Amino acid sequence: MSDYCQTFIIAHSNLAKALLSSVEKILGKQEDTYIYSNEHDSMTVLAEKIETQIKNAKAGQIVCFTDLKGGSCWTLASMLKRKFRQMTVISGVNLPMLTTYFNNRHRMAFSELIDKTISDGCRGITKLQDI
Amino acid sequence: MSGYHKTAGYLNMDVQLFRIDDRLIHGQVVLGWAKYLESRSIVLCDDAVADNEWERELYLSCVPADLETLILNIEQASEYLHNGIKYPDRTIVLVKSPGEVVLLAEMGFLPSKINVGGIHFAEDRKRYLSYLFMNDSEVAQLKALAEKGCRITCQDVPTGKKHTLEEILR
Repeated sequence: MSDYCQTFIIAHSNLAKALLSSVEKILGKQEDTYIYSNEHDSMTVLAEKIETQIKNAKAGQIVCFTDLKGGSCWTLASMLKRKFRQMTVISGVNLPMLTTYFNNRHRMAFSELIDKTISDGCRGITKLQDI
Repeated sequence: MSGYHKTAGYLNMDVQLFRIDDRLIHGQVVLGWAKYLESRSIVLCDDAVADNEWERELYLSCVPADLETLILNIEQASEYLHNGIKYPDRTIVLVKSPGEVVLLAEMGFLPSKINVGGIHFAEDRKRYLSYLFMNDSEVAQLKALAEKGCRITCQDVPTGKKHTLEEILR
């Protein structure tokens, strides 16, 4: 069973919002999950918003999903990880990854949860064979 | 040397893209502009990043191998630009704010054209475009650079609309 875990999704445009609302359509409402867009805000302002949220949280794990590795959301998450060492940063966020994560975050040991989240994210990408 | 000429005491430089972008190396630059312009090199000029090995590694880890990337502090950047940049017409020069361009100008170096690609929201800044927020001193710095002869336009992505500085300050 995982410890208390706070979840962040940071992505371009409306992607984080759309991903969370899609997850909630499939699995229902998710707690302790916070979404951010890199639109408008400078990275300093966005970092402050996220840090405030982290400081308000109970101690525990922090998982941060970002879309593009090398994009500004990922760079920001990487910089936050320097401050909050317990943070796990995952790039390439997609819906298969998130459904696995939210389905199992209170059931699996943390390291197992992260491994399964990433492998299911990759497994969700397929090419349909010719019929 | 091609791409370089002197006007009014400044060494002017025509690089492929001289960009002010507070996100420095990120998707719009690496996936957007560098692919569109078929750039060969990125020169990131920033004191804070250059002096922080961890941040340097972080930015370098995101650049594809075919894009030669240099991270220099402003003094090193001035020297590099003066001594002859390797691929002037295939290089994107990146700084995070107008302040860095002012410093380069004080060292005798002035870009002919500046692309303002992104300065994002902070409390003291006013909104000009969806990706452009500036405080009074940043506006004054850009105006001063324009008066020195820089042609300043604002455009976030290659397919985006190009706005002149006069147009957005109107």
